[in-house]
Amino acid sequence: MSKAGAWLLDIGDHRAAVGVREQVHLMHEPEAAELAGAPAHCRHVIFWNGHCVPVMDLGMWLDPQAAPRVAIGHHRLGIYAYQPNAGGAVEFGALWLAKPPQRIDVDDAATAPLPPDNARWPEVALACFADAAGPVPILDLPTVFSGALNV
Amino acid sequence: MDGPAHGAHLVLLQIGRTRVALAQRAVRSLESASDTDFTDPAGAALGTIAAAGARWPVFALDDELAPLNVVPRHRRICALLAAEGGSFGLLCDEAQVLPRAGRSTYPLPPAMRRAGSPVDGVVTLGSGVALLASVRALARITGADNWFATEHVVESA
Repeated sequence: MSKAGAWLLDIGDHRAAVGVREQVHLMHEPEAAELAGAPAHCRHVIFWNGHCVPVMDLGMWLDPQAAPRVAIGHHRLGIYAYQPNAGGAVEFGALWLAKPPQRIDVDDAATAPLPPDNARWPEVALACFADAAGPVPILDLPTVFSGALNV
Repeated sequence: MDGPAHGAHLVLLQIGRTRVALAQRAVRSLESASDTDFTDPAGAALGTIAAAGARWPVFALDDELAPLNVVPRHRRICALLAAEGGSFGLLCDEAQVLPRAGRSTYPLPPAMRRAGSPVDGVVTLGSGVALLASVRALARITGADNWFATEHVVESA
């Protein structure tokens, strides 16, 4: 039975996970700039290592009626690396987080169905596993930051 | 092309809480908003302004860069922008010319793009950021494009 490293993310009312190598940086109280006209779930950017990085409020995208994470006062984010196309350049996106990410090991046998409480998970999840607290979707980062969530 | 990444200077327009940066050559002139005639709105335009021997439509946007259908009387400046079909005015609170050199510009990340948005990118300023936009896109969202297609430009006296 094989295990893979991952980061468990608390994005407010939901949990999600990314691969251990996808998380590249954490920021607390970042200087994020709000951009007018941007979608409600992705209103901010940060400038990091020469990149303009969008900051996604994935909890708000999952629950559009939810209060924005910035308004709640949780000013913590993780920066994630992804490749939009296989073999293409690495790009970066950020997620607002409610708590610091937790390093975990995921057993192949822990595969589980996506959480039934939100119909939007299939749009952003590659797979799902379960731990003692319930199912944890694994994020498809290229899709999350592709602009596909804006429609 | 009036893309803001080109040219030595940018014109920064303050529109409510939002700052929009345009290539300097895309801005024909800066007029006083008090010179706008709001008594005879035509089409989607809030009024017209006389410049270079003709009257041009004047529009306004809100903080989210959506068209306003009421005149924001507190806006003091009318930036006359050079579009393909002619000129049009955009009401703003302040206007400032800035050197382009030394400022970092970035394309708008795909996750932030919305259909119909005039925003192409972001430019960092000493204090915050401005949104990079093109006059072509502003003409589309304000309705200036339609105005040029359907209204006759009236020569001013």
